Amino acid sequence: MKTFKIYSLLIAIISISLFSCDVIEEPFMVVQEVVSDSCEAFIFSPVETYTKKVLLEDYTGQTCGNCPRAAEKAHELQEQYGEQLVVIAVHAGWFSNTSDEYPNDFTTEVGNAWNTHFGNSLAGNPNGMIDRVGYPNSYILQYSQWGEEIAEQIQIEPLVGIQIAATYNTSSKLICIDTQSEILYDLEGNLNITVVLIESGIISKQTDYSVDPEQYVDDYEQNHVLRKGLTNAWGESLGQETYLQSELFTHRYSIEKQADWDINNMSVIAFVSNPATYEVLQVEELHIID
Amino acid sequence: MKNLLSILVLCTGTLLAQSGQLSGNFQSDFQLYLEDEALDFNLENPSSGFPSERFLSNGFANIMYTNSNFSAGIRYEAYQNALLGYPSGYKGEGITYRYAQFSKNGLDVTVGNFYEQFGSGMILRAYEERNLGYDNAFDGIRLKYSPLKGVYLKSLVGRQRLFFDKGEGLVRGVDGEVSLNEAFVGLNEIKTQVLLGASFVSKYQKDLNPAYNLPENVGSWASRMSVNHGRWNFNSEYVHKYNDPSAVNNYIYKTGNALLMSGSYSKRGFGLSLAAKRIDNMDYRSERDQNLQNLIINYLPALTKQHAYTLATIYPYGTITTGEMGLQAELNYKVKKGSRLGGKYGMGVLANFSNVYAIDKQQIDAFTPLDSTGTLGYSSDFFKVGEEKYFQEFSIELSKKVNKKLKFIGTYINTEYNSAAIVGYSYHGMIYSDIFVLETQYKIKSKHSIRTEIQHLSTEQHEGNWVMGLAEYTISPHYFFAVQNLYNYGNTDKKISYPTVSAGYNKGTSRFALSYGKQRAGIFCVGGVCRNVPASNGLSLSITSSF
Repeated sequence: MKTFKIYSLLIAIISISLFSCDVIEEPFMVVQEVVSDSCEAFIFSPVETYTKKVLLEDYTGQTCGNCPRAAEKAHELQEQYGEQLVVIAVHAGWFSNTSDEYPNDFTTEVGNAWNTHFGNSLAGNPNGMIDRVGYPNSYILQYSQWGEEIAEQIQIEPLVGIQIAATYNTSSKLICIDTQSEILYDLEGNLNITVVLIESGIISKQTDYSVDPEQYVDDYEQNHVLRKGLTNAWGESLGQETYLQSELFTHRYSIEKQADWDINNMSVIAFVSNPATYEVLQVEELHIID
Repeated sequence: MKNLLSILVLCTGTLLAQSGQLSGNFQSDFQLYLEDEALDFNLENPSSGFPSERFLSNGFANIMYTNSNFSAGIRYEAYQNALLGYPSGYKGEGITYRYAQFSKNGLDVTVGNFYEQFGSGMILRAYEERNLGYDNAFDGIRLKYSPLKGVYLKSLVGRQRLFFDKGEGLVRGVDGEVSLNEAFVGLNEIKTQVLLGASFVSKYQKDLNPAYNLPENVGSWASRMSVNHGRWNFNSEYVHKYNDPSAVNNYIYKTGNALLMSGSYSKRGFGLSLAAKRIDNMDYRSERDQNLQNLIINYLPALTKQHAYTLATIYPYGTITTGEMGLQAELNYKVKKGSRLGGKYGMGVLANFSNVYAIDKQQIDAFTPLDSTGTLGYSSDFFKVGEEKYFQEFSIELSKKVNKKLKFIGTYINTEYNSAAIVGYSYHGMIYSDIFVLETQYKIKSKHSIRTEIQHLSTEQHEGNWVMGLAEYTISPHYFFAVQNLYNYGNTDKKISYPTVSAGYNKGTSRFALSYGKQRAGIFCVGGVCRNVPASNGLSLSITSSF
């Protein structure tokens, strides 16, 4: 009788365990919210010539004491190249952890996914990527190397042109975004578009080893801070395997402004990349409020 | 806390009532940190990790009571505050481990904390590696039962330790093993011994993530076989894990699997073993957002040689749990006494080769980049080796006794270390190194012996060349003294030397060790599990004792 009881117990445990497995079928992601009805489609007018713009991703963190040097470098390069250089400051990794002294959380799902995939914070902050060129070998660059790579990438003829339109409704707090990607040459392979929001002029505490003896700045100005992905981290496919010159692809997004965002300092950034190599072919930035 | 106390009271109560056996051990490490200009190790440089406490200590004691079929025990741990390089979660003090165990009529019951391993551990292994601060003990219930001769069953339910807390996820597991030779009378006497085993493990964690449809129960199963025939040995285990999106795999929904096979042949003076593994998306934790060494359910072997010489531990391999394929071969040969090479005492030869490559990864469709979150991530051809090499090592060790007093051990190690893939030193790429070590053991007179090591590591990458010397004088059984120096003379940035002097005293089961010197920054690994330790300078005292 005792043996019987023990058997029943073991059998019960085994059967409970065997059923403890959920296999999830697609879709794995919860379907993204559809574009709000109150957003009206924007009609883009044709553009004669597109210039190549370059994306600089600056991987940084609020407790990274050498990161302000990289931010200064990014600023200096933007002075030099103007609108042709688009900067995203990605706060991710250990240096972006929050604490009592650094309560602001600048990390984002998109930024964390990029950081996990590309391994930037593991490589030691600050560092960055220019159009994600060189993946998977020498793609993580020190800020001293940025200028040279940008100078090279900026020479490249653009293969894709991007236009962005955005409106903000102050009463509903809804941001409506339209993008149009135009293929400029016949292309083989796949293209994805990724759209994110950034915010500049955020005042918060930052560790800074150049400030003696405090080693931090209380009212540091964080610029180009990645705030939110409108697509997922790897973007959405334009949906074809070959592309013909002058084909157009439009995408629409909407999102409600979050309470801690200052809309006056926000921009939309859209970039088209090759999902196989991750290389960014073209990028565009638009300030939401002119 | 009340429960802990009652266990304690129970222990002492029983102790008074009957004559059981009480045993235990104790260890305490103290370190006083000193500022160091060459290492830039000081309070002014926050990134150096210099502790503002200046003095740190780790300590623990295990106390265990056993009386025939019953045992119970506790462990007290104190980190005031944890030594540099320890995971920052170890902070404070308390009872971190307590259990009671009894067995009756073939049923063995454990309540409280326990360590456990199913098969090779690739599906489940809870263990402790104190030097690394690794401890993923379960807190729950475990049953072991042998219903028939040669049949062994285990089941467990529990949550895992996370420093001074527990993980959120529940782990449930069952494991069965059959020894065919024990179970069937007709097979009792035959030379071939066969063991078959199977396990099922499942973890549960609630899905609170709005962006994903996450599996709340993640199951996995494993099957294994072990065959022994005289001098021949063969072991294999295959593990399959269902969809398990997590922070480590970038939230992909691909199933995971791992295969480990090993075979060996040994006879007097000769041993050969071969092993192969393939690991695909097998990071398995009881909380999906954890990383580093936290809440790991399984253990994936590195399958590379573990070295003890200091310079040979500078570039250690750690398993890449998201995917890798590797091989290892080891030859152990003793050159006969009296032969030309062997001389009067013979000569030992130990050669080892291992390599690890990436697995093959293909995009799931033309539009989705590899490892895209919220997709199946990638597809992989099981038999195809990936292009990227993670690690390769060849080593040979010759040991030769010259006479009754003198022995030499010479070692050569050639390593290729893909630093970007293993530890994320992106700028250093593949690090190629050659290491030579000559160890000498000399017995001066009865109870007095001296041991020296001369080591050299050459590489053109990373920190360049290193040289190291060590001399250790032992007066057994009580005293030892040692001096050593590491010098990173090939470093183009900063040539730093790391001298250390140490001394120890043993008496009975107690041991005191004192050392003063510098410690290099680096990655320290035990069994393929690694942690990062900053460079430091200081005085340390370690006391261990058991009863």
